[in-house]
Amino acid sequence: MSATHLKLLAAFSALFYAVSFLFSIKKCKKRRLLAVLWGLGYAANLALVLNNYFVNGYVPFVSMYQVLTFLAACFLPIYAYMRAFRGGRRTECAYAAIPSVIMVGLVFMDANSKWSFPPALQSPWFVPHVLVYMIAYTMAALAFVFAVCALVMHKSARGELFLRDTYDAVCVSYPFMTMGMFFGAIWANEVWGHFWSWDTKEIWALMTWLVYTLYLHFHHDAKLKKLESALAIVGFVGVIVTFFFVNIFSSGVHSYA
Amino acid sequence: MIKFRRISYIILSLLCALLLCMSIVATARGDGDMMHSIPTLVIFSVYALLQIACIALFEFGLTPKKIGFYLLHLGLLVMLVGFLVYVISGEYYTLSFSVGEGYSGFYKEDGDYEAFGFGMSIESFEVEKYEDGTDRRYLANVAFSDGTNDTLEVNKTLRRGGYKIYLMDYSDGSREFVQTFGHHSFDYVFSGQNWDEVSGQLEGIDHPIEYFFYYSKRTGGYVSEGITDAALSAELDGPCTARVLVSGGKAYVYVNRLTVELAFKRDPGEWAVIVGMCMTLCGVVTTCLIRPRRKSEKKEDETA
Repeated sequence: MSATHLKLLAAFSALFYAVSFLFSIKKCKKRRLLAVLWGLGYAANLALVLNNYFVNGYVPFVSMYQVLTFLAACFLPIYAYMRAFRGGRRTECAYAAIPSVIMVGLVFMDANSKWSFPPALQSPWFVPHVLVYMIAYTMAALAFVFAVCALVMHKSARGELFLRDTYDAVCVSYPFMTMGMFFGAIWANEVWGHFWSWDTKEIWALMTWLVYTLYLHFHHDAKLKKLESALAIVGFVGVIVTFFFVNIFSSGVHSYA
Repeated sequence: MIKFRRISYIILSLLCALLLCMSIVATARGDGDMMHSIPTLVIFSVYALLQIACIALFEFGLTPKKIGFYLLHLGLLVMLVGFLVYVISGEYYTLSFSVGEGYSGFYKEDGDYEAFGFGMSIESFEVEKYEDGTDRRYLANVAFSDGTNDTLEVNKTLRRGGYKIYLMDYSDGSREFVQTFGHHSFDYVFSGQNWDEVSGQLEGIDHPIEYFFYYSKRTGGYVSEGITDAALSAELDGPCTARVLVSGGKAYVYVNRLTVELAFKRDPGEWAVIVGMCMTLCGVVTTCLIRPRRKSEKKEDETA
């Protein structure tokens, strides 16, 4: 597929995600239509992921473009999991809005999906490390959206529901974030002989993890509960810095993307 | 108990803020070693004390959530113990090997000789490249003094004499040389099985030649002046490459043998760290993911 085709596919996906988001906030009664629109957006997203895979011949987690494409594709399966196994509410608007934003970003990114796969990344730990972080970041983004909603509606009953949604999202994100950090540490020990090398990305990942640790502790304290939404927001700022800014502004063992 | 909890949250917040400050200072100064310094150890010591206090003060119980709590906090402690064991008794060294060169130990910074308990040399080194010139794979064939051979690769370590051996990197220093002259690539590249073979090819260049030799094993440093064919011949006793840049009517020749960087690590605390990680993970999964939703919550959702 040419770069133009990839951009078109991303735009197509963004459009359908955005339309399904609009339908979901309007409480559209035609749920089947919503599902079809969301499914179309997801199909385009999945096509991009598969293209990245087949062009490269390995799991498409090397460049920022590949990782973002995969990240956007995580939302729908996670929504299905949250609904089926964790009693999640019908908050599909958040699950459709975030991938829509990501897809808009992808339209403006370099769509060259052919990337070299450096020797250090050719490890069995590579896929689990990135995969669990993708799940963790997906849930952290959702926790952020729910926390903002909870802050906006803090005086109403819906605010309370959003607070619980935030907690549910963090409860799923946190174990995956921990796994990602540990898998990365074990992998680093296999490649460089250090579990931890105080690389800028590692420090920010640790700080983000500590903020979410604080969030989980504050949640169980009646007096400090007021701060939990703020912490979920700060935690997501940490995720953004770790995921985007550290790659752009610093070099180190994570400077591949 | 509530008072302790709040104090522990404050300490945790302070640790986070301290890490943030250290990270900013370390990044601004470009000094990654700062994070291996005493303040980091202090942070971890305080953190360890916090974990001990949490475990000691937590109300005992055997519900899944409480077991999760213990696993999580004990796991973090075990990890810190493993880290401490490494700091006290672990070793980590990096050595640059030339192909064909052997080592059975090395001199530490304080001048003491550290013997590995085995001898090893790099028999050959291979690099596979992608079409765009970046590395696809590189591997070193290693010969040990007991007559065995093995292959060392990135992500494929070897264990010998209590050491774990890592292939870290390789370099012939040529990239830095080109950058010094503000060029992107060399004008000529000549390779041969020894220096005499390579110097014969250099005679075909029409410009007066200036030799540059980056790293000498004999002097242990950079050499750029007074280089003679005899000296190079003695230094380069194996396959080598000469790269030529033409600048200002002169030919600048960069000659260097490939060096392979290996790391040797002895870490008695490694298993404690891994066991600690497993315990922590089990604890986190138990406390966060295994959370049966109450019926009342489900009802509330349906009505909302």
